[in-house]
Amino acid sequence: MGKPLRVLVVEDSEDDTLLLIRELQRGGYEPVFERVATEEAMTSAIAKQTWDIIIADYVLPHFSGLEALRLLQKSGKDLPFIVVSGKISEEIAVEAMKAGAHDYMSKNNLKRFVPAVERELGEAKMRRERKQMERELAQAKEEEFRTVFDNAADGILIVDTESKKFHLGNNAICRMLGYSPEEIKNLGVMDIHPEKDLPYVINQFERQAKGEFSLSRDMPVKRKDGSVFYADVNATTLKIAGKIYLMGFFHDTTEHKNKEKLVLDANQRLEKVSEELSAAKRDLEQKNEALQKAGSELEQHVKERTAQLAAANKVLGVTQQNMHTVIKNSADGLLIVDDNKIVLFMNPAAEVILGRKAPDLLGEPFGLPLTTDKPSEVQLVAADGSVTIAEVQAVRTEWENEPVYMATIRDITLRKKAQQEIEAANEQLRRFNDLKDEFVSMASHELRTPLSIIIGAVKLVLDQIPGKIVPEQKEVLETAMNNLGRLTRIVDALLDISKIESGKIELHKTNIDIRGLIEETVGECRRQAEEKGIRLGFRVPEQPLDLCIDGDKIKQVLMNLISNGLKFTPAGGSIKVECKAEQKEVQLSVSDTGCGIAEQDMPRLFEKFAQFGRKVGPGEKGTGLGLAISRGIVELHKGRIWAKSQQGKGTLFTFALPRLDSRDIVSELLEQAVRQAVKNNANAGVIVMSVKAKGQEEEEQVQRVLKEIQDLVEQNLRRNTDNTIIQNTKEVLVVLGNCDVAGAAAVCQRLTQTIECHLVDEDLSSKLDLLIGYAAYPDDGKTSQSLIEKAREAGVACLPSNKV
Amino acid sequence: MAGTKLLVVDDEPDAAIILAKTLRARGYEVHTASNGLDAVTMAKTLTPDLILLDILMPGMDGTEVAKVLQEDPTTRNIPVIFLTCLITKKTQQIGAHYHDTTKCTFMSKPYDLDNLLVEIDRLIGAHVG
Repeated sequence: MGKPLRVLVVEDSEDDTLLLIRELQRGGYEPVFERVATEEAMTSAIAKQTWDIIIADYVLPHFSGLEALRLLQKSGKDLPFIVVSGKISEEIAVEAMKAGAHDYMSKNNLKRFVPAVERELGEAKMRRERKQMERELAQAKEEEFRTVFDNAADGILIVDTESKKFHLGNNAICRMLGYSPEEIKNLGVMDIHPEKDLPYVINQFERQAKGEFSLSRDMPVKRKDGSVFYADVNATTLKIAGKIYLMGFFHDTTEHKNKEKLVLDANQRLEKVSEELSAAKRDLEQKNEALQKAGSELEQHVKERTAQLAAANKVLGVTQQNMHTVIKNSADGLLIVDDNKIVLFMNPAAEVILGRKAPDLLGEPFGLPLTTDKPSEVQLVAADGSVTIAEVQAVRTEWENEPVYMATIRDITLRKKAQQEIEAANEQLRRFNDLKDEFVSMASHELRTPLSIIIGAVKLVLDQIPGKIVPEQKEVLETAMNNLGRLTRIVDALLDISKIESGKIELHKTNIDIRGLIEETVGECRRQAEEKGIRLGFRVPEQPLDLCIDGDKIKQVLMNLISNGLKFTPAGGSIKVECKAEQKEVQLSVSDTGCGIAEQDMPRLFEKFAQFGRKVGPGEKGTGLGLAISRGIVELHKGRIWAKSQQGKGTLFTFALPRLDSRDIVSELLEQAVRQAVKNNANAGVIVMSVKAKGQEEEEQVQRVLKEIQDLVEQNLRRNTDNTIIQNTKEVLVVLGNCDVAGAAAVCQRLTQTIECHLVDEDLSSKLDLLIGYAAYPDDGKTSQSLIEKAREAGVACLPSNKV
Repeated sequence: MAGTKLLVVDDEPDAAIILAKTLRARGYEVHTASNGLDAVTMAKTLTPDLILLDILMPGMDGTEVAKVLQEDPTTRNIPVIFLTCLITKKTQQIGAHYHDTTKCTFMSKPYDLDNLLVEIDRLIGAHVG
C-alpha cells in the first residue's frame, strides 16, 4: 500500500503527467492527482481541494510555472512547489528558485524526482509543525503577556500608529486616567492630553513610532475629570497581526517632578547665594584696591599742597597785610553773616555805622535785611536818638568753606538829605513853573479883555457910528488903533513864548500842501509890501509838496520872517519866499535885500528880546520875541532854523521841516488824535477807504479816483481836527479827531453816499470796487496801528452795481 | 440881515456894550446877557439866530451854557461863536459837543471885526440853509 499523496500537476501534456505519476507510484506513493493547464483551472483546483504538493511545468501554451507559483503564493498555502521542465538552463532554474520554487529538475532526468518530492514533503511538514509550535508559543506568550500587561504598575497603552486610537489599555492606565477599559478603547491620543500640548505630544508620538527615541519625559496627561498630571512615556513599536502599534509605558512623574523641582530650586538658590558671595568678595577686593590707591594719591596730594601753600603763604604774607589794611580802613562797613544770620565778622566802619562795637555784635543775630539783588535802605536810630540812613546790600560768598552773606553797609544819610533837597527844589521849580504859566495865562487874559474893549470902542468911533468925526480926530484915533494893535501883538507873543518855553504847546498837525500856505501868507502881506514899495514874490515847486505840520504855526513863522524882511528892507528892495524839496526835508527861505544883520548880533539872533539898534519906521517896532517864537515853533516840528546875512546887502532866513512818508504822516496824525482823545478822555476815529480796479484797464483810474475821493472828503469834512491822507497810493485815510464810534459811523455813511454818487456820475461804479471801513478809539483799538487795521478789516464793499 | 437876532453874552459890561453897538451899527438886533443863567433864559425866550458867547465867566461859564442849550431842543440848533482869550482844556472840550463846524466857531479876543462879521454870516447862513 502506498502513501496517499494529493498532487496538483500543472502540465499541458497528459503523457508527461502520467510519467510523473508512474514515478511517484514507483516511489511508494499512492497519488491522487489533477492536471491543470490554465490559470482558471488551477485557481478552482486550489480552492476546491487540499493538496500536498504541486508539480509544474515551466512553459505551457496558456500558462507558466511562474504564474502557477504566484497563484500558490497568493493563496497563502504553504505547499511544496517543484518545477519539472523540458527545458533546462541555469537561468531558468535560478529564476524559478528566486521566485520561490522549492526545486527544479529536467523532465529527462527524473531520477531525482521522487527523492525531491520526499524531501520537499518532509520540509513542508516541518514547516507546518514549527508554525504550530510558534502559534502555541505565541498563545502562551500572549497569556503571559496578558498577565504582565494587566498587573503592571505603570500604565500601558497600545496605540494604533496610523489612527492614533487606543487598541488596548491596562488597568493601571485606566486608574491613572480615570476611564474604564471599555471607555479607553474608544479614545485616542487626542483625548488624553491638554489641548495646548497636543502638537508637542503628537510630534513626540510620531517620532517614537519612527523609532527615533523611546523616552518622552514629563508629558502632560489629562484625566477624565480634566486634571493634569505628568508622566514619562517609554514607547516601543509592536506588531499585532500585521499592524504596527506603539506601546507606551506611562510613569507618573508628578511627585517625582515636584521633588525634582524642589531640588532644582534649592540648587538655584544655592547657586545664587554663591554668586552673590563671589560678587561681594570681588567688590570688596576692588574697594580695597581703590582705597589703597586713594591713600597713596592723597599722600602725594598733601605733599604737593603743602609745597604750594608754603609758596603761596610767602606771597600771601605780603598781600594779606594789604587786604587787612583795606578792610580795616574801608569807609563802608563790611560784615560776614552766616545762614542763621549770626554775625561772624565786622570791620571798624561797620561798628561806626551801626553804632555798636564788634564784641557786642559778634555771635549775635544781624537784624538788617540781606538783599542780594538790590540794596535795601534802613534807618538806624542811635542811643542818643540821632538817625542814620544806611544802605545794605549782601553778596553770597564763602567764609572758611561755609556759605555766608557778606554785607556792605554804607552811611547814606548825607546823600539822602541831598536827594531830598534836590527833590524839594525840583518840586518848587515845578510849582513855580506852573504858577508862571498860570500867571502868564491870567495876565494875558486880564490884558486882553480891556484891550479888546478898547479896540472895539475906538473902532466904533472911527466907523463914525456914534457920530461923524473930523479928519484930525480920525488921525488921532488911528494912532491909538495902531498902538492897540501893537499891544495885542505883544500880549500874544508873550503868551506864545511862555507856552513854548514851558513846553506846553500842542501842535495841531495836518497834512498840508506847503505851497498853498506860502501863497496864502504872501498874499496876506502883499498890501503891506505894496505900500512900502517892496517887491514881494515867491517860488514854489510844480509838484504838490505835502507836509505834516501845524499850518497856523508855520504860517506864523512865515509871517514873522516876511514882516521882519518888510521892516528892514528899504523901498525899492525885494523880498522872496522860496521853497525847496530835499529828500528828507523841505527848506523854506525868506530872503531880503535889506540892511542885513551885524556879525556881532548873529549869535543872539534867535534869543528873546534881542532887539537890535536900528532905525525903524513908525509903528514898526517889534516885540523882540518874533524870532524866538519862530525858532520855538520850528524846533517843535523837529526842524531847524538859521540865518545868513551880509550887512548892507541883505539877509536870508531858512528853516527846514522834516518830511514824513505817507505812512508816518498817518501815524502822526492818528496818534495825535489818539493822544488828544486820551488826554481829554474822549474818542478818535479813523476811516479807511480803498478803491480797487475790477480790470486791468481801470488801474490808472484808481489813482485819479483816489485823489478825487480825497478832495470830496476834504470838502465834506467840517472840522479842523479831521484830516485826509492818501496812503500807499491805495487807500484814503480819514483821521477823525474827537470822534466816537457812532460819529465815525455817521461820517462814514455820509462819505459813502457822497462818493457813490460821484462814482456813479462818472460812470465808474461798474469798473471799480470801493471798500469803506471805520474804527474808533478806544472801542476798536488803543493804538493808531490797531485802529487802522480794524478799519481796514471792517471794510464793506459799497459800490452798488446791483443795488437798486 | 434886518431882523436877525443876536445874543451877546459877556460878564464884562463894557465888552458887551461895545460889541452890541458895533453889531447894531451893522443892522443886527442885539440883546445882551451878563451871566450864564440869564443867557440860558434869554436864549430860550428869544431864540436868537446866533449867540456870541464869552467863555470865561464867573458862575456858569460859557461851556456850561453851551451844554444846557444843547440839551434843549428849542435852543439846540442855534449856532454859537465862542469868544475867548484863552484856549484851555475846558474850551477844547466844548468841541466834543459840536461835531460840526456849521454850528460853532472859536474866536479869540481881541477879535478881528471883519472876520467876526464873516463868521456870523456864515453860521447864520448855514443854519438857515
